[in-house]
Amino acid sequence: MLVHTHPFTDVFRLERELDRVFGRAFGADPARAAQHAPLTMLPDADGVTLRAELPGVDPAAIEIAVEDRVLTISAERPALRHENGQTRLQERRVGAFRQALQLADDLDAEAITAHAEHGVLTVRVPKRAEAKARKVAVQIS
Amino acid sequence: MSQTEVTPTLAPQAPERVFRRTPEIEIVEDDQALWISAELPGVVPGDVEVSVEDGVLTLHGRVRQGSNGHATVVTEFARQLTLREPTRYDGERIEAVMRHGVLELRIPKHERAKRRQVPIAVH
Repeated sequence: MLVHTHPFTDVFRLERELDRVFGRAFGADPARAAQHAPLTMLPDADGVTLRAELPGVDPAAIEIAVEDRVLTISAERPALRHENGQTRLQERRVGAFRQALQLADDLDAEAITAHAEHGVLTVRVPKRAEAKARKVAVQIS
Repeated sequence: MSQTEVTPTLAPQAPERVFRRTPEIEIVEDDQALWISAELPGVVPGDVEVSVEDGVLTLHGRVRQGSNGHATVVTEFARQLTLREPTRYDGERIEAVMRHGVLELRIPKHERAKRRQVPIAVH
């Protein structure tokens, strides 16, 4: 695996699912279920592409940082806009989104690029040049 | 999020692998209108369809997510909502906007269905 998820990721995912299942029935605060967004990782020969769904989030409000080889994606999903209306149904998640991923050694933290469009964030983390060269050498032998 | 694979469509040139999803929605009602927003991440505005027929609102969005080597991967978002009192709403004047992958609909109420504030005369 090229990118190691935070060890608690699966726990959070389970928690999120539980919130989604029980939150509606018991009227839990939807913001509590908002910690994570669907995130997929697509590794290939040259690196990893991360795809996070952040519908409703302005691309300018998404922050991506790398520190000590931990890539952090964070965003605030804005609260929904109606003050005078009565909510009839609320399934959308609002509030903070934050996901931290430990980068594997062969990935180049300096060469990360990101692009957000139509509510989808795509982050590309290429492998280091020498890591790619090594892979070619193995294929030849 | 429920995600189920459905039978690929029969396209002779480019086979598609279609995943169907139910978008998360929010419904708010105020004095003037019903506001519905639906999360359609990745869907471009031109690939969204909204229709109302016999009191049933249908939302549909489609996004191509590239190829998996064998077929084009497509996600289809679809949802139908039945309006409880369809005659209260004006299906001809629905406003729809796509904003960062969220479809925002405003379905205005007919004049007669709007709540009115009756001024109280002071003598």
